Amino acid sequence: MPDLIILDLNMPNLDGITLCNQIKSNLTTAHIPIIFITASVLPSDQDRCWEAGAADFIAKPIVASTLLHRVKNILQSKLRFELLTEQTFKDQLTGVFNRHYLMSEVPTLLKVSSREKQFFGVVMIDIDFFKGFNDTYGHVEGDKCLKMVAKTIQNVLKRPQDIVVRYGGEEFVVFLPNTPPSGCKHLANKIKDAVFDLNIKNSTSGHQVVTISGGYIVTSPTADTHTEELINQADEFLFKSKTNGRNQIQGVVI
Amino acid sequence: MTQQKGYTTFEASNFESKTLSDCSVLIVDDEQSTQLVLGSILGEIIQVHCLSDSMQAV
Repeated sequence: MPDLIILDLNMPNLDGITLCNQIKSNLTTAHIPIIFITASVLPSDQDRCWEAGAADFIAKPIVASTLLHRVKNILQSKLRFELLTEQTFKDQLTGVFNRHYLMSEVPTLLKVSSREKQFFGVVMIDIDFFKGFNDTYGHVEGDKCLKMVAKTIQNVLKRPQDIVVRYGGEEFVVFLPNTPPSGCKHLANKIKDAVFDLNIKNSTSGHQVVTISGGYIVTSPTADTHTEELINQADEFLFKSKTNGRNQIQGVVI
Repeated sequence: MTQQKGYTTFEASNFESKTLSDCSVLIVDDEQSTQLVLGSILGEIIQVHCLSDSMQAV
């Protein structure tokens, strides 16, 4: 996907304005800035470009320095916007989504699942004995552990619609749209096993390695289903996993 | 060092910052000469791809 498109206003078959309209009406390309280039000096032509969603307009003959500066300005603004978006919605340490993203986007996923009458899974995950890990090995190792666990969770999830959020210090929550109960349970256990297989030493754990506990809930959401409610329910099963000996997954279908 | 919900992290930021040289531009123009001019100017700072037929861009 290009970061910028430069369009000639007048082209055979499909003119620049029509092409620009098509690009701007497609969700996957709408964010790409477009610069028009034309020999026309008519204000009406320039108006048409702006109205179609142009980011800029350059008249022929082309002045190299002006073209370079305008392209640089537009691309630098785009890069700043992309970085800010990433910083707004992602956790700086682990690179997974943050709670702000959860509150902004997950309610929409729930509505889609409700409308499509699909299952929706929520898995709460907590690293066992993480305080002991930090106290024993230090926060630098703790950070590395968090990154490895986050990466492992991401690696288990293969579908782009599955979402991993760092919920708190050592807590993660996974959202699994359109996932049946068997799939949710399978993925939660697969994550548990994959973290165990990382074989990160933790002498404060009975297993001597870093493990996780998880609680999940699978539901067919309705218009009244709230994200917080599902998280709280999954959290109750996480608590059961903790009190039942850790390094396990418990859950329910409602 | 930043704060994350009461948790202090010492690790470097995980954000990947894309630079200008990583960017690419698509030039859609039926005139080869314009493509050449634009491409030679912009090729100094970013990757350039050209199309002569606007239908291909769709």
